[in-house]
This record gives sequence, C-alpha cells and structure tokens, in this order.
Amino acid sequence: MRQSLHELAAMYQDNLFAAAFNICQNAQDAEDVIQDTFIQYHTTKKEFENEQHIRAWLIRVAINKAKNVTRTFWRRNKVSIEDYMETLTFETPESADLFETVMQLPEKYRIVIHLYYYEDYAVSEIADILKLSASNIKTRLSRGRAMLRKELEGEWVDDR
Amino acid sequence: MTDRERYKQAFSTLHSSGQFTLEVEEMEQIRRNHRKNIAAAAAIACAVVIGTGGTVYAADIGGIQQKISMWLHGAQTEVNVTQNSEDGSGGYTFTYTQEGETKELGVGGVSLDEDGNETWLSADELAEGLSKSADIYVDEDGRVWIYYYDQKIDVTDSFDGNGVCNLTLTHGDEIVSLEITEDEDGGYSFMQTQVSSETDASAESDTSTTATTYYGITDGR
Repeated sequence: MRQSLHELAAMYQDNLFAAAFNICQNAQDAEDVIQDTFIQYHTTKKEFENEQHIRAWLIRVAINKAKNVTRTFWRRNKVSIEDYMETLTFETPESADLFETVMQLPEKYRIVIHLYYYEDYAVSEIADILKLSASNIKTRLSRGRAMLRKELEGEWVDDR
Repeated sequence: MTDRERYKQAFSTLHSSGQFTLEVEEMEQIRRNHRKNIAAAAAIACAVVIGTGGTVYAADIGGIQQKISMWLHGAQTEVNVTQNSEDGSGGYTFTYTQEGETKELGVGGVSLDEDGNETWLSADELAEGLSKSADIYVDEDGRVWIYYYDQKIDVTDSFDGNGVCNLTLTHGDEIVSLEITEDEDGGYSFMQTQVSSETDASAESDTSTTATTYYGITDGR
C-alpha cells in the first residue's frame, strides 16, 4: 500500500522532527531531514504492507538521514541545545529537566530511549528499525534508563 | 505519572515548522540541487596536482594502492589508485597520464540505499561510475566539449536562451540524457540521467530507489 505525502506529513511530521532532532540536536537540520525523508518516500518504489510499516520506514529513514547529517563535515553552525531550549515551552520544569538530560545522553542510548518512550515501539520493533539485535537494544535501553535514573533521581522512577 | 507519560510530555514541545514542500516538481528540484551541492562542496575540498610529464610521486600516506583501467576524458586510461583512508571515507586519489601530463584526481562518493543509509563507494565502483559519466571540458577558445566514453562533442552552440543544453548520448546499449547548465560564474554543470539499458533495466539512475552520488571530479584543466 501507499499513502499520499500530504496524509503522511499531517500524521508524522512532528514524529519525524522529534526523531531527527534527537539525533542531530539542531532544529534546522531536523527540518531538512523531514524534507529529505519525504523526498525519499516520493522516490522509492517500495510497496508497504500497512500504515505501521510506512511509519516505521519513515522513522528509520529519518534516523539514518539524521545520522548522515551528523557525519557531514560541512555541517551548518549549530545552535547550542541550551539556546534552542530557551525557545521551547515546557509544561513543567521537570519536563525541561528530562528533555535536557535525555539530550545529554550518548546518541546510541538517546534514540533507543526515544523510540521506546515516545514512539511506543517494543524492543523487537526498535531492533528492526535500527537494524540491531534485540539484546543490543535491551542493553542500550537499560543503560539509558540507568543514566536517566541517576541524573534525574526522583523524577525518573524506571517504571518501564 | 509514568516515565512514558513524563517523556511524552517533555518531548511534545518539539514541533516541525512545516516548512517543507510536498510538491513533486519542487522536491525533484531539491533533489537535483542536493546532488549538485554535494558535488560542489566535495570538489572544493579536493587537492589537485598537475605534473608536466615524468613521474608524479604521490604522498606516502600508507594507503592501499591499485591500478584500474577506465574511461577518462574520452580515452581509455590506466589509473593508479591510492586509498586515502582505510574505510574509503577519505576518498581516493587517481593518478594518470594523458597527453604527456601526469595528473591527480581526487574522487569520493556515497551510495544511498532506500533506507537512507550512506555507504562509501569503492575505487572500482567510482571508476565504473566515472567511466559511465559524461565529462565536460572548456578549451582555450571557450568551446564547450562533452566527452562520453570515446565520443567528443562540441556543444558550444547548443545552449538555449536560459543557458541550458539538452543532449542524448548512446554507447552500446546505454542511452543517457544530459542537461548541461551554464552557471552564473561562467562554469558548467550537468545532470546525467540513464534513459535505458537493454542489459541492465534497473540502472535508471534518476528513478531508481538507490541513488549514487559521485563527487570530487576535478582535474584542474
């Protein structure tokens, strides 16, 4: 099956932005990743099994493109995460703490945490998206949680 | 509140500006520009050394060296290849001699699969890609020439009022179309699209789900 780009943009643009931002930590780069991801969808002749297949593929492509951005030597001047956070509105101070703490995690833990807690993917699904083994994902998830627990103390209770 | 709810609350503040296009023509243009930008940026990063006959001694950087035969500037050419880094991420230096001059060519490239992954191309893949690629050359008289395998075509008078020249070239069963554009600074760039191939129907580069970008193609002529 295929869905129209307009449909997909309405449904997933914020999810793709959040996933890309999680990796490249730069809003403009994340916007570029969204554009490139939709161009990739437009270009690919791939047939998808269902909506969830499309969603997972879009997220995978956005993550890969965001990783490509971080490897590019002519990357644009970065706005620091602290400066960018000042432009965001958080519901509570705890939300801001959590956001900042997650952004300080190493990338390999950050993206796994994001896919688990934000996108509600199971370990096996994250493994499929990132092309890693399930045990590897479990390890990253466990270490990422431990770091959050340590840094956030009572604000992160590790309730799974 | 659970950790999951806390996390979603924290990250729900992230929103896309929505400043992207979903119009097909605009997306195609962005795609073409993106390829040109990569090529331009990498070409600037390339060091080019031109010798005048004799032997050019490449810097000993401990790279792996090999020889490849390929089409370059309209001639079948023996090229000495030096790998600039172990994984290919530093690209390659192709050293060759044509018309009594020894030249170095810095090349690199990535292959992009349908999942958006980039893989560095090997020297053989780069040589094959460059052999299949047309080559543009402006001579001392300002004539614009296109090389394609063993063909040499003068396209100087074929540009339209917008500085664009469209050309179809054939080699064996390969048919490619070229869109050559005169840049504002007087230089030229081109997009090559494979129209068809009887032996390799999957090689339609511009419509395939696998895109390959070759860059750093400059020899200082």
